[in-house]
Formats: sequence, structure tokens, C-alpha cells
Amino acid sequence: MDKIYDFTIVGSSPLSALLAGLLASEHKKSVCWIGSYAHPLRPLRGFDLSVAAITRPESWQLLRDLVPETQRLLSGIGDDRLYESVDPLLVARTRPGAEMLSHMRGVAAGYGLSIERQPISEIYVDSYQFRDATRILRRSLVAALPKWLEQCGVSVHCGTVARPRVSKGTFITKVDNIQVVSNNVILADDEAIISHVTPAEVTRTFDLIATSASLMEPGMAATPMIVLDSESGFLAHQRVDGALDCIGPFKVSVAGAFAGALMKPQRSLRLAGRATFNTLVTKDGGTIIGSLQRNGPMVLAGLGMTGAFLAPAIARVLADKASAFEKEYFAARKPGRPEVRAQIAEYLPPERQQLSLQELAS
Amino acid sequence: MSGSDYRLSGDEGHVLCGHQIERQHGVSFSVNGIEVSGFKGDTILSALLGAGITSVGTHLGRDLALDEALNLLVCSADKGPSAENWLPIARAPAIDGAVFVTMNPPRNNPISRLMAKLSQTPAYSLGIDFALPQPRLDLLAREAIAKAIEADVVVIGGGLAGLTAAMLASNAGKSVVVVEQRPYLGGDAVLFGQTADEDPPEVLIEKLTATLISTPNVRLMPATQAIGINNGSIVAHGLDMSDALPQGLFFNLKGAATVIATGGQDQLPVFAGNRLPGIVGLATAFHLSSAYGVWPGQSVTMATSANAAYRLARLGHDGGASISKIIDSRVVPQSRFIEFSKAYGIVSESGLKLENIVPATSTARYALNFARSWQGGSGHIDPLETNAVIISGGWLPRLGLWQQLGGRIDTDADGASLRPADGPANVVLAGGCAGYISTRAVIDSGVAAIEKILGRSVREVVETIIDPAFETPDGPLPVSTTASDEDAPAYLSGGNTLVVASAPPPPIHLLSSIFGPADELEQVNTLGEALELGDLSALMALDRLMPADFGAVANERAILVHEFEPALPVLQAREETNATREGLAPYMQGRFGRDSVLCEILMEDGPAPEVGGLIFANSDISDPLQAIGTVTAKTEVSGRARILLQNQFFEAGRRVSAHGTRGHGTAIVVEATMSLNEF
Repeated sequence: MDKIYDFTIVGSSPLSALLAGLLASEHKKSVCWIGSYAHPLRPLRGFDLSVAAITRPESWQLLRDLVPETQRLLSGIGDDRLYESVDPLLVARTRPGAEMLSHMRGVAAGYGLSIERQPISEIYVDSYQFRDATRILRRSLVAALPKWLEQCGVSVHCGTVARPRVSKGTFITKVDNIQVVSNNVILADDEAIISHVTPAEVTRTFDLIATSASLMEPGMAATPMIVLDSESGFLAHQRVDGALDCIGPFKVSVAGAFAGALMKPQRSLRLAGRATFNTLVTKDGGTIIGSLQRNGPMVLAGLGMTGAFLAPAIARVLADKASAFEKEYFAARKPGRPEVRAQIAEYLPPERQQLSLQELAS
Repeated sequence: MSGSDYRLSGDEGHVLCGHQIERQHGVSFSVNGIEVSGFKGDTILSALLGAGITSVGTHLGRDLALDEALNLLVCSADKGPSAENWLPIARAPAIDGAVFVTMNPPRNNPISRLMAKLSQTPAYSLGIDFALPQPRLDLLAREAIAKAIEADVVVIGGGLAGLTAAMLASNAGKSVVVVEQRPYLGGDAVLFGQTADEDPPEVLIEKLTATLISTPNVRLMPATQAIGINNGSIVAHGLDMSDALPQGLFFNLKGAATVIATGGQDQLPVFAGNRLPGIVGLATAFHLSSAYGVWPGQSVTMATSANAAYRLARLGHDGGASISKIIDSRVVPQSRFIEFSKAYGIVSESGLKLENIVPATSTARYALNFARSWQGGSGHIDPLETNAVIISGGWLPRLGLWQQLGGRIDTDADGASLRPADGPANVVLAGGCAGYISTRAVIDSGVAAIEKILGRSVREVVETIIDPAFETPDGPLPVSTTASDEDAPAYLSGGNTLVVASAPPPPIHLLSSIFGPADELEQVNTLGEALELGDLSALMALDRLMPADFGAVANERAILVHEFEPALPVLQAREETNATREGLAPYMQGRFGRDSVLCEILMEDGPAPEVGGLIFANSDISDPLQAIGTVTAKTEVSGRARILLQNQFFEAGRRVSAHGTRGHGTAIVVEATMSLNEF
């Protein structure tokens, strides 16, 4: 008879792997993780930052509590440092965007974040620099995950996974013809949700955003910097070698031009790598945690760049060990809430391009 | 050798005679102020190398070999640097009296020029700092007007496979365009020689070329390089020779079907100093010597894992070159070429791979350091001193264009070789890039490609495989990772990406793990530069890329290079709703409860209200969770602002505390504008 896991976590994001490891190590659950380790040469498909365009005070409060916990967790994974302190710049190019940033600043500052308004530039209507934010070194984390997940006792499967089906109260799926049976299945990143939830259900709950990830060549030695455009969610990260990781809802050519314009000084950029894929945003911009349909797998979506920092709390919720605040926070973020005037609605970047993934690659 | 140290004597009829040049007609020109003498028929590159200018300048502070793969462009000093005026030195002819310059030429002040003249040391370098940008044809193509050429079949590569395909397509009544980047047709088949009862490749090439030249529906385009893809067309760059000075021409080649017959490329063994001046790849060395009689120098050593090196050694020896030794990374290689070279008295040693190349202490230019290439091999190996090295790490199918056209590439289980997988229906591979080696198989693959395009039954292409007991297969790419900081860079490939094969980071010290720049740990393995397939192949040999990851990484990293000028995305028009008209974005509408009120406040004291600032019931509270409202807009009246307020706190005349970046102050709720329920 097949072993029945407490949880099967599907997804390759840092959140999914951290969740799997935490459930197994901290909460003593039997866990199967089905994902893949992205090679460091591939353009980054996600970014893990402790700040984002968040407007709800309870979200900032949760982050305030969880970032130090996540830092401690990361310090115990592998031998290398897996996070660093950064000062991301959040910019607005329109008046509504500037108002959102101003509101966000007011809320985030209430939780002790050090935020400095920056001088107006030709490009921005307004911008704020967040001091001492935490960035997870995703490529280093991915390199450290296999050993850590093994130490945690997580059963790891990297392969093609079949859509989970429910039989007698358990989920059954197959990874490269190996059957995996579990009491709970969690689709923990956008790719997993898009692959394993029916398209109708996906579009009912989410908007699909065609997204490009690009890598721009190092042109010159440069100060590392992170710029996040609140109008689009586009992020450009200039590394110490001068190369740039860019992620956003733009064609690669638009992303390259935009990233060059965001740099100080502005410069032309040469493409060194690119990938296109779909990401999901919820209709109200808030997080979704729960099953989209009765007896369906649980989905974790709409967590944005801060998702990995929520792993300890989500693990506690799943293990029924969450604090009252955590329980209340995630209970309010179940699927099926009203779309209009949702009490948990977050800011949604309005700029999107209605393009196919193929068009996005150009 | 005769004449210069860098030209073979060129006996008529010899394979390495320099079939493209007329030795009786000299030409002189200059590049970056350096006077160069060559022969009519030389390219700018072959004339430079023939004159001993073996360095293009510096990269990462070290000399960098002048090589055809760098795709260096020059421009006539008389013409402006427009897209059409940049000429690739590997294809453009040496023109008597021409004055060429590169982009970012060295800053030669008069004193240094005088010193150079007084020292009477011949220049060996073009002096370009490769940290500075150089023009690229693929980027120039975007600003140039391209001439459209349409044909039933576009053949990329004018070697045996491409010419065979062109002949067969032409015989079937199809219009054909053949694009070949070298100034002559034939490819590298002659380097590999004939097998058993095959006809010599040079004879086959001569016959095919002679026929195709006189075939009306075939257009042969030598000295034309396919440089990328644009909207499904192949973008190519050729040369207009109608003027005294050639000019660049860009083409958009559109074919109902495309045959890619781009052959194979030398793999560059990875070791420190693998692109120093005088270090030349095997195929480049053959091409330069056979077409132009150019040889890397006196006293050449060969370091190889491929049999063809022995054939070139014999041909070079035959042509008057001195081959000091052949070092083979394979343990006990067997090949008819090895036997031939032994018969010529060429000394060889096997089971060694290059560790690094360093400056020699004696009169020779370099000292080569070796290590045993077999597991467990140890013991001291004396360095070998030499002036130049011909190196080969085996062959890599040239599949860049195939990939850009949508074809997939696979690797074998251990990542030692690349091979094409599935691709677009109207694109067919032939010859070396499809993995064929023997002359017969290369020719048959050209025939099979056209049979497939014509929808006929496709013949089976059978490779002639000689028993490994008699012909050891080419070995894996030799790599060495023991470079020190003092060594010259170890490049991943011989292409124009110039990516250095840094070793993975060592385990980090505790203090550096706390205080060090963590990002550096990441970037070492990330390689922010553009990559090509050769780089990825080397990374697999270095175990830094696993075969299972190759496909995804190749798809995302071995791509066409684009350059983007800084520009902001155009903001899209947004649909306005009642809520947004009232200044309430969706994220704000439920922010303070579903039945919040839009009202106004008037500041009694403190700073002016700020949009986005939070409203609290009193000044003792600052927890954002307890905020009762937020400022949504300023009004025309100073100190007055519109706010969104929890319904239960709305009461005209009520005092609230308004917080902002400049502190907080007391405000009075003055009037309601609208309840959210009215939306």
C-alpha cells in the first residue's frame, strides 16, 4: 500500500520548498515536495523581498513578525548566506501610484520601517526608498535546498506531475509514473496552479499576467540597486557585477528599455537571457489561501514578492499551530470573498500588456 | 616557412598553399595607424595575422588573441561609422592603400608613437581595450536597410552538405540561395580528408562549385554571414565589392524552406591562457593556412583531443612549418592520422591536458604546463616552451541558427555532445551541424535534406564509423580549473562572448559570510554575460551545468543579442469607474469597512495633510491597524483635505489626529461628501 503523506506541496518557488521543509521539520508532518531546482544560469522568475506595494496594515504587521523568523530559518539552511539587506526604491509614475505609495509609507512606517522619500526625478512622480529590507538570495537558496529538504525528511520528487485526483478523501497524483498519495495537496506557486487547476477555475479567480524575466549584461561596475515600479510591478535589480535581473509584465524589449531608464546613470542594456511565463494575480490584489473548489487542492496565490517570508505562518496554519492573528489573517483570505470592496484588497499594479508569451519574448 | 614567420611557403598544389592569395601582388593598408603588408586576396584578418599582429588588444587586463570568431569590425577612416561602413575583418578584403580604424581605438599619443618607432619592435597588437564597446553586426542590422531576397530554398553554409543540397534543389527546379560566411566555398571537409574509397573532398567541392556557378537558378553568396532572425527571415550580412572600398550589405533571406548546413565549430579547451595571442583553434588554423598560407608562428605545439589535429600537423609539416610536439589528452589514441604524422617524425605524447599557458623565461613566447588527463595520473611533467599553440577540444555542431529558428537541442546523457532535436517543419539540417562526420554521410545528408523538403522518400544517411581500435573517437573537451589569480583568463569558448570560466566559489569564511557582499556569491555561478552554445558545452564539461538542465538554459540564455536604449513604457489609458473618479482605487474601497464615508477635514494645528496619511481617533494612537481613515485628496482650501473615514467615526465637528511624513496634527471633521454605499 502506498504511503499516505500528510501534505504534498507542488511548486518550485522558495515559498513551496520552505513550507515543505517547515511542515516536516517543525511540525513533524510527512511531506512530499514536487518541484524543480531552477539552474542559476536561468533568468530569475521571481524575486523574494520583504517589502512590496502593500497597503493593508495587517499584512505589514504579519511581515514585521515573520521577516526575522524567516531570516533565522534561512540562516539554518546550508552553509552560505541566503539573504542580504537591501534598500529598494519604490517608484510611482502617475498621481494615483504616488498616492498609493504615500499611503503605503504611512502604514509601513507605523511598523517601524525606515522609509525615505526621494527627490522628484524626470521619470518618477514620487519615490520612496525602503531601508534595510531583506532580499532572499534565491539562486543560493535553490542550491542549498536539496540537502536541507533531505535533512528535514521531505520526500522530494523532481519530474512531470499529473493533475491530482481525489479518491476516498485522499489526493492521488503521479510524478514520472510514481504514485504519490496524500491527505492534502497544496499548489504553492503560480505555475503549479496554472498546471493543475482547470482553466475555467483559474480565470474565475485570477487574472493571468504574461510576464517576462530577463537578464541584462553587465555594462559597468555598479552599485547594487533594486527599483520597483508601482504602476506595473516591474522590478529591476542591478547586481554587484552590473548585470540586471528584470521581471515584469512587459515585452523583453520594453523591459530592457525601462530597466536602462531606471538606472543611475541611464544606460543602454544588452540582453543576456530571457524567459516568459504566466503569473497570477487575484481580482482584488489580496492573497488567496484555500481550495478553489470543494475537495480540490489548496492553492497559495497572490502573495507576490513577500510570499517566502510568509512560509512560517502558513506552515503553522496548516499544522493548526497558528497564532490568533495569523489564523484571522489567513481566514480572511479564503477564496470566494466578494470582489468589490473586499476588506483585504491590496493595491494592484494597473499596467499590463495583453500579449501572448511568444510576443512577450521579443 | 618562408618570407615571414607567419606565412607558409605556399608550394603550388599543396593543401596549405594559400589558395586565395596572389603572392606576387602585395597590398599595404593600416588599421588603427599600424601599417600592414599582405597579399592580394587576403582578408584584413589574414593580412594582420600574416604580418604577426596576433593580439586584438586587451581584455580583463590581459592580451587577447586576434581571431576570426571575435567578429571584429573596422571602418574606413574616409567613411562615417554607419551600419553599412563597418566591415568584418574576417571577411573583408585587404585593400591596398586603405586606412581602417576600429571603434574605441587605442589612445596613441605622439610620444608613445615615437617610442614605438625608435624601439623598432614590430607591432603585435591592435591595442583595443575590449572592456569598451565594439560594434556588432547583429545590432547594426537593426539600423540598416536590408535587401530582401526570396528563394524556394535558402541554404546556410557552403560546405559539402550545403553545396550538395543546393545542387539537388536546383536540379528539382527550385530557386536556391547559398550563403557562406567565408570568402570561398567548401567548408572544412578538406581538413578531415578522405576515408577509404571516398573521393577526396577537394575534388567533390571543385566539381560542385563549378556546376553551381553556372546554374542560373542558384545564387551563391560567399563572404556572407547569417547573423540572426527577424520576423522569420534570416538576416545576413554580405559585402558589396563594386567600389574600390567594399561596403556592408544587409539581407533578409526568406525561403519556403531552409537548409542549415553550418558545420561544426572547434571547441576551445578550457585552461588559463586559452585565448592568448598565438593560441589558435584547429579549424581556424586550417582555414587561415589553406586559404591564405597564414600559420601561427615558428615552433608550433599542438594540444588536442581530436584526430584532425594530426592531419593538420602533417599538412603543416609538409608545408614547411615546424611542429615541435603534439600533446593529446586521450590516453592511447589510435588514428591513421597519428600514424602518418609519426611517419613524418612529428613527436607526440598522450594522456596530458593543458593546465595553463604562462610567459616563458627563455626566448620562446610561452611555457605550457600540463597535467595528466586520466584519473589518478600524477607525477611531474616538464613545461613545454613554444611560440604558438594550435588547440582543439573536439567539435561542436554549429546549431545557433537552428535554435534561433525554433529548433531544439539535446545533449547526450553525460553532456559530452550536443545534437539537434525537433524543429520547424520547413527547416532541415545537413552535414556537420546535424552530427555527420564522414564525407559520404555529409553528402548524403545534403541529399536527404532536399528529399525531405520536396516531400520525397528520404534516404537513410549512414555514417561511416571506423572501428575504435583503429580510429579512437575524439575525446571529451579537456578542461582545467586550477588557474591562479596571476594566470591569464580561462575562457569558456572561442566565440565572441568572452565569458571567463571562473571556478565556483570556495567555502566562505565565517566573517565574510556575515559581513561580505552576499550577492557576489551568487553572481559567480550566474554569468551575467550573453552566452552561446559553446559556453554551455564548456560549462557541462566543467560540471557546472547538468545535461538535464541544458535544454532550458540553452533556450533562455543562448539567444540573439539585443540592445535596448533607455525608454519608459507608455502608460496605458485606464478605465475610470465611479470609485476612481472619486479618488478611491479598488484597494482603498474596503479599506475602512464597506460603508465608509468620504468627508473632509480641516487641520487645526500641525503640518498640512498629506495624501495617503493615516487618520487616528486621537494622537495617542499610532498603530496602523487602529487607523480610522486616510487622506485621499487635498482640496483647494489650505489645510483642508478629503478623507475616507470609518462610518462610525463620522460626525461633523469631531476632532481626529492626522498623521503624515512630517508629523501629526489635530483636524476637525467638517462635512461628508458621499457614503461609499452611494457608489
